[in-house]
This record gives sequence, C-alpha cells and structure tokens, in this order.
Amino acid sequence: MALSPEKLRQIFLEEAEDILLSFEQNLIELETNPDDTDSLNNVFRAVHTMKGSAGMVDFHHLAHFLHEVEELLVRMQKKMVTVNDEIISLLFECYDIASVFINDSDNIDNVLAKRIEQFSGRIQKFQGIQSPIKSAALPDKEESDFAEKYIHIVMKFNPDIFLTGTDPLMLLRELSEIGTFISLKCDTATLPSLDELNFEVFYLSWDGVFKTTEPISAIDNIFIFVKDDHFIHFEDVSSNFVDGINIEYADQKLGEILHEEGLLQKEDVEQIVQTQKKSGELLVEQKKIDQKTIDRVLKQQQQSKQIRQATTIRVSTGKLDNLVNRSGEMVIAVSNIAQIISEQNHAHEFTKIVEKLQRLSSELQEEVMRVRMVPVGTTFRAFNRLIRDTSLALGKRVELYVSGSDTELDKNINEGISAPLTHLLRNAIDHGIETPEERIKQGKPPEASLWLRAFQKEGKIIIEVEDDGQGIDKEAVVQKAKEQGLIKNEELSTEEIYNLIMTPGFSTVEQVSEISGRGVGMDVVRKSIEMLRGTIEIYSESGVGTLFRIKLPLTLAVIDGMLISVGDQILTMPMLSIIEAFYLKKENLQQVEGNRELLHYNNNYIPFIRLHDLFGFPTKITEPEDGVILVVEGHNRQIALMADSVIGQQQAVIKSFSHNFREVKYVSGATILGNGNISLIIDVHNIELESVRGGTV
Amino acid sequence: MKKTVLIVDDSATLRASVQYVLTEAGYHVEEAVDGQKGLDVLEKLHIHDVKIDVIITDINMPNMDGISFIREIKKGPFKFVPILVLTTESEHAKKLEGKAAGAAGWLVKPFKPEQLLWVVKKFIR
Repeated sequence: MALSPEKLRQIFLEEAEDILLSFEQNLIELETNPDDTDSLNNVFRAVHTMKGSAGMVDFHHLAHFLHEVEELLVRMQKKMVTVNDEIISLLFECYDIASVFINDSDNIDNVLAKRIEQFSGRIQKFQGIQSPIKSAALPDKEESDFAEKYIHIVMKFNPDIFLTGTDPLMLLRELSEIGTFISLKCDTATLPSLDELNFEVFYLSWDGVFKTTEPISAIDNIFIFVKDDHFIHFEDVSSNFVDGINIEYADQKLGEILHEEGLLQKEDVEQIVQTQKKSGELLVEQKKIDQKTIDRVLKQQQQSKQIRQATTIRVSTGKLDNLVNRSGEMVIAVSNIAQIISEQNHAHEFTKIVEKLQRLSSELQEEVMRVRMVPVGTTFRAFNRLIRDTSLALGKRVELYVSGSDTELDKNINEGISAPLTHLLRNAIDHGIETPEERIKQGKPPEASLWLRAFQKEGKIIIEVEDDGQGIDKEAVVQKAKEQGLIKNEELSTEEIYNLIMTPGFSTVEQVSEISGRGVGMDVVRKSIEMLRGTIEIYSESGVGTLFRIKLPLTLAVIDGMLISVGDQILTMPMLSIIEAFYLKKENLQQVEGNRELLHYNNNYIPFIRLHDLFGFPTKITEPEDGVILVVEGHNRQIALMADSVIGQQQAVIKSFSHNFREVKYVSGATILGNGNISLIIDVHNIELESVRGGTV
Repeated sequence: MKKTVLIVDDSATLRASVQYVLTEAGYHVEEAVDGQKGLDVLEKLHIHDVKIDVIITDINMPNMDGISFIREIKKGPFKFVPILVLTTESEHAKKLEGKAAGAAGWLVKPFKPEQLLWVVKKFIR
C-alpha cells in the first residue's frame, strides 16, 4: 500500500500541530523567563524539526522561512542575540505565520510566500550575515562529456573502517560500475598471518589507474563519505595516456611492475571478498528463527502500521471538547431520567431500557474522553535527557527508572504536567540526591535511583517522582519558614511542614542554584498541578528519600462535584477540594475581630465562611448548627464553608464563562443540572484568597 | 530476503517518507522516534537474530540524540552496521560529530527519494 504525497502531507500537518504547540508554549515560557535555555532549546528543536519535515513534503516556502527563524535561534543560543521583548514578539509573529500556514496549507503557500519574504528581512536584521539555504543533498552530476579518462586513484583506509560501517569492497564495486582498473596494486604489507587476522581490522590499501567515461565528480561521489577521514587521492592523469597506454611507463620500470602486481593482487582482493562473505554467511547460519517466520511477522507489523497511518484523521481539539461536553451532559441527563423512573415505579421493561441507556451513555462518555487521551510516555521521554544533563552538571550519578509510560492522560493535562515534573525531577537531583561521595559515606550505592511512575488508580491518574536521596530536613524547613515569617511558633504536623515547602516565598536553599532556577519554587509546581485540578502530596524520610505523589483527574472537562444548596440556589463544589463534610457544634465556633469567624477544627483554627453571606443568597438557614459544614482545601490552608444542605454527588461538565463574565467572584464556571437549571461551580481558591485579605488566618 | 533499514527520527513526516520510499524500493523498514527507542528496536531485532543492513538516524532528537545513539550502537552487536546521519545544510559540525562517533555517511535534509535510495544502496552489501 503506497503512501501518496497527500498522505505524507497529512502526516506532516498532524505533526506540525504538535510542534507548533510546543513552539508556542516554550515561547511563552521564554518570555517570562528569558534566561531559560531549556525553553530556547525547545523552541529551536520545534523549528528545526518542522523545517526538516516541511522540506520533505515540498513546502519549500515554509522550510525556507523556518530556516531563517532557526538561524536566528542559533544566534540566540550562542548569545549573539539577546532575548528581549522585540525578539520574543518577532518569534511570536513567526509562530503566527507558521500557524496560519499549517491551518490552511491548501491555499496559502503562494500567498504566504510574499508575507514570509517581507518578514525575512526583519529576521535577518538580527542575523548578521545572511546564510543561503541549499536544498541539494548531494552534489548533482555535472554534464558528462563521455570522453575516456584515466584517473590515478590511491585508497588508504584506516584500520578501523569496518567500525564506521563502511566496507571498502563496496567502494570497489561501485567503481567497477562506472569503469575498470587498468592497473591496481594492493598493498598487503600489514596483513598478518591467518591465525592473527582480526576480522574487525582492515589491512589493505590500493593504488591504481582507473579508466572511465564518467566525469571525475562521479568518483568524488563514490568516496564522498570516506574522503575526509581516510587517505583517498584521485587525479585525472589522462594526459599520461595515449590510446590506453601509459606513456610514462617508458621510463618507469616500476609502472609495469605495478601493473603486473595489480593483476596478481586482485586474487588477494578476491580472497578478502571470500572472507567477508563467510562472515556474512555465518550470521545467516546463526539464525534461530527461520526467515519465513520473521518475514511474516514483519509483514504483519508493517501492515498494521500502514492501517494505522491510513485511519488517522485530523480533528480540531475544539470539536473534541464539544464532544466531551455533550456526552457528559448526556450522561447527566440519562442519570436524571433513571432517578425519576426509580422514584415513580415504572414498568420493569422501561427500567431495564433506561439502565441500558445509562450504561451506554457512560461508556460513550468514556470513549469520547479517551479520544483526547495520549500516553504520558510522550512527556516522560524527554526526561531521560534532562536527568542526564542535570546530574552531569551537578556531579551526581542518577539512574532514572520509568514505569507506566503507556498510562493515558488528557492531552491538555499531559502538556501541563511537563513543566512541574521537570521541576520536581530537577529538584530531586539538586536538593534530594547526594553527591556520590556523600552517598558512599552513608552506605548507599554511589548511583542514586530516581523513579518516575504513572498509573491509574480509583479514577485518578497518579504520577510519582521518588528519589532515594537524603529526604526533607523537617527542622530546617520549620526554621526557614520561621525566618521567612511564614509561621510563628505553632506546632506543625509532618504534613503541614511538607506543605510549607510549597508555600509561595519559601526556599531552603541559600544560593540560587542554576539547576533549579531562580524564583520558581515548589509553590509554582503546586499551582500548575492545581491548575490541572490535581493535588500533590509529599512523603519523605530523612536519609531514605522523598516521594512526590501527584493525583490528576482523568479529564479537565468534567469534574466530580458535590451539589449543595444555599437558599434556592444549587452550587457545585469540586470533590477534589473537599476534605470533610459534617454538622457543627456551636461551641467550636469563635468570633474574632472584624466580624470574622474561626472554626476549631483538628486542633487548628480555620476561617469559617457562610456561603449565603458570601454570595448574598437569602436563606432561612442562618444558624451554623442547622446547616452543613464543608472543610475544603485551598492552596495554603483549609477553610470551612457553610451551606444549607448537601444534595448529592454528580459529575459536572464545566462551562466556562465568556469573557464578559470574568469578574464573577468565587465562581470558576457553571454546569447544567439534569433539570436544565444552572449550578455555579465554587472556586475554592478564590474564597481562600478572600479569607486572607479579610485578615483571618 | 528483504534488506532491513532502521530509520530513527523524531519527525513523523520524515519517518513516513523514508518508510514510503524504501518500502517502494523493496526494503523492509523499521522505525523509531528517538535514539532510546532505536536501541529498543535493535535489541528486539537482535533477540530475533534479524540482520539490519543500514541505520539512518537524525542527530537532533529528544531523549537520546543521534550522536549518543551511534555511540551506543558501536558498543553492541550491530557495530558494523553502516549508519547514516540526517543533517541539515546548516549542521556541518553535526555531520563531523556523527562521523567521529562512527557514522558511515550522511544525508542532507530535505532529500529527494533518489538521493535516499542512492545513499542507502551505497551501503547495502
């Protein structure tokens, strides 16, 4: 089954979309952090890969354009151009041009050519000298004049030529395709006796006169890959030959000998040919599976690859999002029907059909969500290099063990998880793992282990980063937090101490290390994970190691929500945020200044907020002991929220507000209930922020 | 028996075009997206005692780049297999680095089908 140029372009366009995404994200990263060489390198790689691919599918305008961009990026990498706003804007424009191209490649190649041309001038401003792009891979054959030529060729190969994968015999065969040696001397001086012969070493060299009608560039082409590293000399000596006879033989006895020797030594050459063949045959003989089986399996694999290539289509993520939303809504609607039916005692047949519908719709929802899922391995793969570079830079020895690469994550989550994981891994090497010397002192193997695991558990994706380093020094953390004024003299649980690490403004390392970077701390890691509606937990044991466990939802489009009522409104609280729901005893509540209230909870005082006050929804239930208390986890602290009652649990398809509504406080979006009503989704972090601003701690 | 070529490149487009051109020309093509995956493929082939005739690899790849990949190959049972590095016109230094690591030749991107065939044929025994 042949792959048409159209299909190849299709593959390119699919690939280009991913590349563009990485381009954009790393550019954004670079904008906020101009010294981040990783982002710059990633931008470079994106452009570089796309350039190569564009050339392959004959998008020459695009390839040319990307080449210009690449040149600019190289200069940025070499620090010949400083990363400033102008450059970043320029690169964003480059990104835009490439995006426009990719999204409408059918119509735009020529239209865009003009824009690209104009734009190139601006890039070249930063480039110093303009570098021309050549598209030819190999020297083109020049016009042959078909005149008979005599070329003196000397070939002295290095003994290790076999190790470069080149077989000099192949070169001789290639030569024999375009002409003949009229004389050839093989130098066997270094050839040892048979029992000392090393099959991996090459011993021979040749010197001869070659007759051909091809241009000399044809010979150059044959030796193209070896002429720089081996002694290959060839020159046109046609002037020495008359009617095929070397006129220099007249006064060169040696020449005749050469000629004669050449004929004789050809047998030696053939001997080598024999030897080579035998080693090849040996390899064939060693086969344990018969060739037919291998061919059959390989064929099957190839067919499956082709089928897979043929059955992918490009779908915009927007459409997928809509599908996910619709299917989610359908599940909710169906479960509503199911509930009504169960309440009204309908006929058994009807109930059965609805149950089936319910199961089908959940399956459909799952399938639709799966369309957006990609294996986390695509993200993990990049870390091998990171680990290698980071450990090398820090003089530490680290082995990375990756498991669960095929665990699937929502595309957006997968992309969002890369940065925090990068940070955690770097942190582990920088702060967690000791130097080899230190490790030996402690009786650990000098090579540290770093585990990166992904797996699915209880409807969540778990990603773990674990090291066998020195663990977190709790006392140092507490000490530092006190110095930085993050805590006073309170007693903290182990968990709370670890949480301090992820508090904004906390850093235990005095010197800003080049590896872990400046300013970006664990709080940013936590924030980016929370942006993905995930949570992070830390487990550590002094001297043994540290484990970071990230829990992520399967999808970003749907959350598990707790429906609560406040007045006549039904609000949705993300289940992930909820720690506990209970009825309150009044004595646990304390009034503090400014009309604020604190709840005594687990030996702690946490802000107590009445949702009906916060949202201004009138209700009859105003006494805390009549309502329900939900303790929820914010970024940095727990807060208690009071609702009228808990209605139940339901999946919620998140509808974001349009930009017109972006000032809506305490609410992150809305979801549609089974009865068609709208329920606002509570933004816990926003409420938490408010509780801080209000002065309650 | 079909000659086997391994193409290692993070670009799906490039892999697909190599796959296409070489399959049309009667070769069997194995693919890998980076050096690490390339080593996995080689290991698999080695276990099944399958001969590999030519390896084509990109230089600039995530995870394990082409240079490290070549160095790893040179440590293993496929050390005599000719390796071609894919470079772009602007990467002369990479070409040399590839050669120093033990590559047999190179191919400059973007290339035409006949150029690919020419260079692969050069190394097929």
